[in-house]
Amino acid sequence: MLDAFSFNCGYNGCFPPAFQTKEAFLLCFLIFGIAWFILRRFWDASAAIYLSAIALLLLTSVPQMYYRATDLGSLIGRLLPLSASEKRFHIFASDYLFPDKVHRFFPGIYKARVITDINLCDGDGWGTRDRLAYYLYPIDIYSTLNQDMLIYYKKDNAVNLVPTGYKVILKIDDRNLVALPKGAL
Amino acid sequence: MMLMGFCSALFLSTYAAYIVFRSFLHSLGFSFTSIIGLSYFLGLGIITQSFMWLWIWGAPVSYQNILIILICLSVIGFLCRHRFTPLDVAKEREPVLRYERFFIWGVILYVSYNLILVVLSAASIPVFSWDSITSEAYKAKTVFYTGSLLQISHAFYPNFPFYTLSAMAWTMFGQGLWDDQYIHLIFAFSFLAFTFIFYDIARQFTSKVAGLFSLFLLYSSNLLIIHATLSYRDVLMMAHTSLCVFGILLWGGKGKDGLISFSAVFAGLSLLTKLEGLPYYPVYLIMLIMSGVFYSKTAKDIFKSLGQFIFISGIVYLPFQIYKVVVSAGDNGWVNNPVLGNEGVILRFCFVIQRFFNELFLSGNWNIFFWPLAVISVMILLIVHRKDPLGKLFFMSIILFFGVYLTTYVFTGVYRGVKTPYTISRYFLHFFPLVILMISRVGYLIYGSQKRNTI
Repeated sequence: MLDAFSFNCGYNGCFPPAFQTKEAFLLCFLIFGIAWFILRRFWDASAAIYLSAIALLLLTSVPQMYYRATDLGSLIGRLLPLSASEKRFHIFASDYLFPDKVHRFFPGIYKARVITDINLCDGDGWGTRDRLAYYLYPIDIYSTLNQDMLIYYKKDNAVNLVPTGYKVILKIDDRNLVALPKGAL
Repeated sequence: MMLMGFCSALFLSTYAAYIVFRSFLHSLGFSFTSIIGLSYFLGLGIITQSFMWLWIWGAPVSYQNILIILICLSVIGFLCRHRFTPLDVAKEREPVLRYERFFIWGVILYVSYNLILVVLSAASIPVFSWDSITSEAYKAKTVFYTGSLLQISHAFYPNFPFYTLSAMAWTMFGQGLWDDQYIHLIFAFSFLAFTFIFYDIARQFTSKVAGLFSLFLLYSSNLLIIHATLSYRDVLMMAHTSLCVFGILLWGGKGKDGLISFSAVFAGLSLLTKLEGLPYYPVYLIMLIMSGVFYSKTAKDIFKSLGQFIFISGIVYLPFQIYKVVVSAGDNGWVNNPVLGNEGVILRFCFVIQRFFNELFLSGNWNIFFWPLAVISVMILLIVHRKDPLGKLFFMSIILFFGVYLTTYVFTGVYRGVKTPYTISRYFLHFFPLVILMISRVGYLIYGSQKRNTI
């Protein structure tokens, strides 16, 4: 999901992350040593060593600017033509689209229970749970007391699982729907 | 329209802080641009305090109520504007050599280029990272809809401080609706504000050219540039932590008591920004004592300043502590839990040092020559310029911050997170500006610039 919007902050001058190994580090020191050897002729020892590092830092800042421009620039270029909800959809896909549809139908404040086949207690499920919580709010899915809404999200056979006493109010598809107690609306 | 509402909220808090603090900050010798930058952080601090005090007194946390507080503070600030006498700084024009002009314009271009990139990308990306959604944006949204902080206690990490989420909720109040499209701009503007302040402070510690060199070093970090476009709290934490230490060091050199209040406020704000503020607090106190000792202050002066520092920072932190007690939000157990496991201290120590080395010297988070330059600067400082109190204080503060993380990783359950990429670098970002100023100070000492009266 995030691939289309990913950017790499790790580009480092002329040493992209792939080359940031101990060899790259040693190479830097070799270049640094040469710079120091040259500068040593014109400055005292401490100034030469300090200046060598600064000179290399300044030099690497030029390709660094290029990498930043290509990374962040292409990101900006990709995002600018899109609307806010298109961006969110591209980043989060259904974790955003589903709450967005629910919100259009239920703009009020509710306390809901989410029923899903996704394991919300493991690493990836946490992200889904927190994104749903964020985009669904003011429909509160964290509160466990007085829940007055059932949200079926990516739940197989969801329609048949709705308990008696509840009525499906919003059905996006067979796996994604919202039910309220009968007579609540 | 949405962007206007967003920016107007930030403008209002900054303007109120400017009215309240300008004469005080001016009396400490800060430049106009630096005062604007400081007002940005202090303004968001006022917003955070307003959120917490309104909730404590049972009033709704709303745009109108906060606006009333800002107006009242502005009126009080306006009436008290003559209380502080401006610091009479002799404005000497520093002679600039021809080759230095190239460097100055080069840095200005470099900084502007990066700032444009940062602001544009921050304005383009809505909130997307798990951390910012879970620990900040969700909580801010609950405050926005309920006008209360109570719901935060039901969310994850209820003990996380409020500075960032208050800033988010405040800008959304300004917008009039919850839409996180521009929320990252809070962090981009923080970076911009810090740029102004950092240059001014670096110039006070060194010279104009060395100050610009410090800015160049600041912008050389890839991690910082990216964090300025995301809603992580580390840029704000970096600003508050380093401003607190800068204030303490400036107090040592200039001897103005107001700088202790300045540092204490930022120490309080760092406590309100991230949980790391608590382990940093002893570092601030040690730095205050060392600054007093190195600049030959009397024991009485040092103790008086310590008392003033603890009192003011305590006042800033107080409402959050009240909140934590009221909602029973404790601290993270895994931080306090001294889990040693099977590895033992020595093995852990070696592994943590290795991870530190990898994150600093081999990761793309920093310019690959930055940390070698820092090591070279330390060596020059300890061998050639060991009598410079300021250089020693910078070095000491950096060692203390490293020490905080080394001991935390080795002796507590935080060790579990030591392998997580970028985490260590994110922590080091908090005192990254101190390393920069140490490097610049060494450069300044090497060339023994006599162009400007510095401390």
